[in-house]
Amino acid sequence: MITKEIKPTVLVVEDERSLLEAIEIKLSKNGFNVLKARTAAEAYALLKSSNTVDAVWLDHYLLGTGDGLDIVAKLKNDKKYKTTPIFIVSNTAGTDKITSYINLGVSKYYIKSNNRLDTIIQDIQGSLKK
Amino acid sequence: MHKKSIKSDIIRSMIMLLIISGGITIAVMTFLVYRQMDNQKIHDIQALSTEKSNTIKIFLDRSSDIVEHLNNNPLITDWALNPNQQNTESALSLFNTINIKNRYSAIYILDKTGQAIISTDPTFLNNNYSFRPYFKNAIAGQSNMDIAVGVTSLEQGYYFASPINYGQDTVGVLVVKLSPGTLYKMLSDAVQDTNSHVMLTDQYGVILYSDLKEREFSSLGQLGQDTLLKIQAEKKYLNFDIKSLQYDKAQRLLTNQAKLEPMVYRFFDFDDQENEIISVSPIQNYPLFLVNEDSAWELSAGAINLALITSLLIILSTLSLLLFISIIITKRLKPMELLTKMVKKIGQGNLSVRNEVKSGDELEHLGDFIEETAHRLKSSYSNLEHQVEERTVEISKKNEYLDKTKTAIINILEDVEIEKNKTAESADNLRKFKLALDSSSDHILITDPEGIVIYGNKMVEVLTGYSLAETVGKKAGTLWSYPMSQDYYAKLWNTIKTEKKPLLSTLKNRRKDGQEYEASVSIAPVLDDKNEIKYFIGIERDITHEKMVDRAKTEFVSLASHQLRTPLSSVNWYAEMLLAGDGGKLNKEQAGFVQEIYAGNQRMVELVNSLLNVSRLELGTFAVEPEPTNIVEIAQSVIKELQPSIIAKSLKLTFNYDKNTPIIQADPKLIRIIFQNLLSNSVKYTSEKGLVSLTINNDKKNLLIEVTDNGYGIPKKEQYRIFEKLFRAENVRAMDTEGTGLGLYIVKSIIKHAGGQISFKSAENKGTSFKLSIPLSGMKKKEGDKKIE
Repeated sequence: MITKEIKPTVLVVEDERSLLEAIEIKLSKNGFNVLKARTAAEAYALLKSSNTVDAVWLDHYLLGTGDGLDIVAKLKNDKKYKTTPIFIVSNTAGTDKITSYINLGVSKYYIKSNNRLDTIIQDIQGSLKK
Repeated sequence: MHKKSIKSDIIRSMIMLLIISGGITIAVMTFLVYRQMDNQKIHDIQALSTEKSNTIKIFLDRSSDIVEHLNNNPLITDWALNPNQQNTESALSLFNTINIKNRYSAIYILDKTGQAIISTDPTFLNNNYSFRPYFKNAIAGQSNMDIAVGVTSLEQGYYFASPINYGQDTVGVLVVKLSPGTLYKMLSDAVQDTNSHVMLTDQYGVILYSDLKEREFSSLGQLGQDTLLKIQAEKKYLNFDIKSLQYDKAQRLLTNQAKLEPMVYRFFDFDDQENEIISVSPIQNYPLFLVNEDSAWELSAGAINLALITSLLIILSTLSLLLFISIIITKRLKPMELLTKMVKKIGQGNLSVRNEVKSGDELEHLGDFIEETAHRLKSSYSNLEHQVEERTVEISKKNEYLDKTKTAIINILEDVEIEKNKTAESADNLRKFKLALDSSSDHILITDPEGIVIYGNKMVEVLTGYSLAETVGKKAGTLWSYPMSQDYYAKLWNTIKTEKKPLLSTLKNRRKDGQEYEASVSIAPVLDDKNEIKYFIGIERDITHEKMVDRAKTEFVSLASHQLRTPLSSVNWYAEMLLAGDGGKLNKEQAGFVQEIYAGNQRMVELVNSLLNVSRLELGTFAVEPEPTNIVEIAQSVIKELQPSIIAKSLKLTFNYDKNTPIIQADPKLIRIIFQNLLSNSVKYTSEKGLVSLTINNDKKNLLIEVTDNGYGIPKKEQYRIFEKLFRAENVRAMDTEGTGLGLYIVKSIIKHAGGQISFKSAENKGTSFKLSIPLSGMKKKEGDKKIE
């Protein structure tokens, strides 16, 4: 039962259009407010303009300059988003990259093709309850 | 022979000694005796002389006394003063009374002037005798005696004068004249029948009497001229010519005599050609000397006799001594004979001699000693013989050995010859080897056990850009390698030096010109036969290109997988959403189709994942991060994951595990993959209601995992291929089961990396059992680009 509370906002940063849309649909279906970005720059703009971002769904490789790591770094340096849970959903499995993300303090790292949308969303919901 | 030698030697020596000493003794004795006898004789002569002169003195004293006696008569003075007839008669009567037996030739009185006034011999009367010394001395008041030859009688007379005193005056001299005939007879008798001669001399040395008549009125020796004149003046001996005899010494003694004792001396009489002893004795109170002449030879006759007797005695005693000694020697040397015999026996070889000498002295001792020595010799001979025997055996053994050695040496020399040839060959090979080394396309360094470069080939220069001159003598790699961590070097040295194992590594290098490159490095120790490190051989290869290729491959794989995964993700999610009804409710058929799409896509995802893992395994770029891992928990987790499939196929899955299964150092992801693959295989390839069991045990060294099923099994003829990449057995392919064919390859690779073992038993349609062991020591950390997923 969805109570009349403020919908949590998830910032989704994904460069593949089809995937981005699928993510948006699923998140919305689960009661999330979705902000979409395909580049780091778009992400930053959205972060700046929006009031709240409760979670971040982040791919590694992005269009334009900057990748997921840069964004995470930026978020962690920002007072506002320091504690915002970040979920990396990427098809890249480089150990070094994963380690870097974990060191930066992301909540979880998913291999896109290995995970269902609903599983990931469950985790996001879980993290927000805390 | 020897006995005589010693004996005769001793005797000879003794004889020599005795002759010499005897001779000396005799000589000395003779001399001494002679001397003694001589002295004795002289002493005797002296005594005799003294006695004789005493006798003479006494004789003469008688006359002196008569005169004194007469003179004592006071009438004498009257008569001297008044020599009338009456007085003369009285005087003469007295005188004649006194003159018994006419001893005296005359008794008369001289007056003051020297005229004879009264005389028994009338021829004297009225003669003046004042020239006579006796008168001169008497008239001076001194009674005295003098000797002269009478002017009338022409004979020797001894005149005894005494002063007739009237008050203080001497008024006359009373004289008694003695004829010395009696005296001379006395003297003559003394020397009769002897070899001695006697002489009576006056105070001057004129011989008054001698038993040799011819000597009368000769002097002993030469008289001095003044003496002769004096005698002449006194008319003492009238005009007799006084010849001198040869008795000069006696003459001198006489002249110089101070003593009243007789003086004796030895004298060689040239006339008689013999040794004589002369004694000169003064007659006390009278101007007379008694001179005795004795032949010395006669005197020493007794001495010689004595000496002869002594000598004889000595010789006799010597002879008897010699005899005595001879006997003793003979007796004492008898043992020597025995000893000689003993030693002779020994010389002949009989060492068991016995000492027969029982003399109880040094010789017996010697005999004992010889006996002992002989016996010792005997035993040491037998010892020696024994030793010689032994030695001979030893020597022959040694000879054998030497022969063998000789043969061996000859063989060795032959081998050496062969070796020499080999060495030449080796040298040749070495040259070839060096050539090969030099022309190798790998950088090859040879260092000493401390890592100091002693040789490098051409490639070293080419690769590193440093010349060999710069390289040799320095520690290997210091010029071109990037410094690594302390840890790295510690591990390096530990491996190659302590564990003496070769090390393989990849290093980043920088050429002299600054260009960087990656090199694969292999450092291998070269050990000598004592297992000590002789050298290190370091081979480097420029793998920059390889690495680049590798990186390219890895990048490609990454990229490829990423690119492949994107559309897969898309299909996945949209299918998911469709199935979830996010696009609207689907009818059964539609749902079915979408399910197929979803399933097919899942397989693709799986394939892509597996391919990625395989590529990482192949490239060796996968990472291993061991941590304390609970194997059992992972197994349980994997089982939970597979529950849907297990339930769907109504499989019975049993899990038995040792409750005390230890936590091991392992990468949990890799462990998970192992369980996932093996269990999912069993689940996949077992028909409904089948059995799957998982057992986890451990022994002291390893973790033991067993996955068993009673499923389709692996056909025998394909079993050897089961661990091949992408291989799927025909039976399961025919059953349209899903599978990538990569699972077992991955599992095997992981197990291998963990240092474990994997094996299986399978029979078609019976089932399969996979057994694997993982060392309890766990997995080693591995750096890598990617993780196996």
